[in-house]
Amino acid sequence: MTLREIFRLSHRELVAYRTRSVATVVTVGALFGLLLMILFAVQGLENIVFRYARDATGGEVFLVSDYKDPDLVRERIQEYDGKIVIFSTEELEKLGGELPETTVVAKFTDLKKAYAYYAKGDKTEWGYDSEKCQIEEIYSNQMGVYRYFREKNQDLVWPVTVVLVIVSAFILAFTMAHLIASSTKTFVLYRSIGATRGQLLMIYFVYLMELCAASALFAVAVALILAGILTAAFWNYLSTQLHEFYPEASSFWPILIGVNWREMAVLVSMFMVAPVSFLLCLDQFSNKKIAQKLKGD
Amino acid sequence: MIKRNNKVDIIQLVGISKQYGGKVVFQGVNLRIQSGALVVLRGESGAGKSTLLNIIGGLERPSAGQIMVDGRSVLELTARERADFYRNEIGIIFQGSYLQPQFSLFENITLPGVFAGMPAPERKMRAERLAQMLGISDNLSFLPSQVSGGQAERACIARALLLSPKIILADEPTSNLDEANAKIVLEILNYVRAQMGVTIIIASHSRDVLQFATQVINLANGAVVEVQNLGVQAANVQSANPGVVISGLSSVTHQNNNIQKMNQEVATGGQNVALGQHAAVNQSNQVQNLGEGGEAMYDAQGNL
Repeated sequence: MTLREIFRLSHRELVAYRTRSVATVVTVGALFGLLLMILFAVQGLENIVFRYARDATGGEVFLVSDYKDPDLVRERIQEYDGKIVIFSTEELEKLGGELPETTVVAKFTDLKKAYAYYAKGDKTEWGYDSEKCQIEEIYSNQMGVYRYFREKNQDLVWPVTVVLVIVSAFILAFTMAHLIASSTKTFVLYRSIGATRGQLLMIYFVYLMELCAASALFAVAVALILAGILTAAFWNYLSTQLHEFYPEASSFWPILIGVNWREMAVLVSMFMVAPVSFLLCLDQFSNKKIAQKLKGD
Repeated sequence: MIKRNNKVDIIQLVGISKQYGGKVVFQGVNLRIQSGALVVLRGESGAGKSTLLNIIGGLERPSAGQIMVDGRSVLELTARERADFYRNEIGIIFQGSYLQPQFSLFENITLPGVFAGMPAPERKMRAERLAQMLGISDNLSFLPSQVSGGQAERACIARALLLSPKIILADEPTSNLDEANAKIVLEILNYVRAQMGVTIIIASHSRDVLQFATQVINLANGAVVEVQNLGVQAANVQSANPGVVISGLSSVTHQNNNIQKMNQEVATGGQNVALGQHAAVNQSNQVQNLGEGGEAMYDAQGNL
């Protein structure tokens, strides 16, 4: 039996139980769609704020560090691929006067390295008292934006993702069990014309995967539509706010749709629902069960 | 070259009992069915005809007893053997022409070949030949909903025959058909029995089916109350002639063209398939004129 033949037979189930299949796809797709919309919107917001924040400094991050041992700070800056910046008197005046002797200004072009330096996660390695080292960003607030969205993702998005995945898995499993239980006549027919249990399992597994794929597509569509609506609703507000906050930055379209690996992980997790549901329905394929239902029908 | 060996007990039921909960459907049923027979299971509704058919076909387990089909115990088949059993031994025709509504007749007929891993060209060839034999060649691309009940039933027969089974189990094959179509379907089944040596067991309460029966088993009150061995009678000898069968297929007006085409095909292919022994008795009289029809589609083993 070729994969194409298996797909053809599994697709028949989807067509045969169109209403239930569509209901499942819509329910699961809508749930995951809401989650994906949140992820899209949060990532889109992060992207646009970052874009403004980076544009304000030409994509560079300027960090001012103040510590009792400036040489140690300089070593750290070099370790993170930063460059020491010596301000001219004019530039210092713009910043509001002279800097203390213990202060070092560094410029980073790599955002992640800048954040690693800024987050002071290397206190043991460097043997300095990170609590006493003050680091602030000047000209923009890329570090603040970066930290804000990281924390938002950890505090809000992941717990919601986990809950929705579990809820969706149950919905899908329940619906699948119901669908498979309705297919007894087909089981009997297939078994009676020589289908092995393995072939039946394969057909219904592919069917579940097909439902998951349809749910994933529907979820993405729902998420894109909702994120599009969100963008339209907050377009003016965001543009105004961002311009006020980053007056030096160019003007960008505040589109609240962004892609990241978390969204991919959520989509992959949708496909993980299929094997789980399938395992829950395995008993439906036993000869005994089929014989019982045959008589029941 | 001959058809399958007849006059052998292809099915043996020993002490078969079946209960659902506390309800006894039948008790201690013993039966022997010869290869090549056309057996009719008769009885009132609820007498257990379908259940007995399902038990023979391995679709249901008896509460007690043994079933031997072609020398093998159906109850002791492994999963793999069970699949092979359905591929090689038994073709089942369910009550109410159970065809997959989303598939064309062609796809429905070839389904057993798909599961058996038969190459697509062979499936196509077999399906087309069976369709030709059964007079549904022109309907192969149609969905079951687009054909008549009789044509759908013939598609079910074709599906059951695709893998050349030794036994066909038919559960009320004419229950949803009008008189004319019911007659055609029964003639076809009888034709299949006569030409391929296939043992056919029909569960039916219809009287029409009796004219084709070689054995009638009456079920009542949870037991076999009567077994009549009729042999092959004049009527079914006549209808075992494909010409007679096909002439009854009113919906297929150009069947004769198909037969001619088939004959040409066979002739040009240089095939010379000898006529098989007839199923039960009077072989020499019964196989007259078979060279004009579908028998050329079978090989020495009665396979397509």
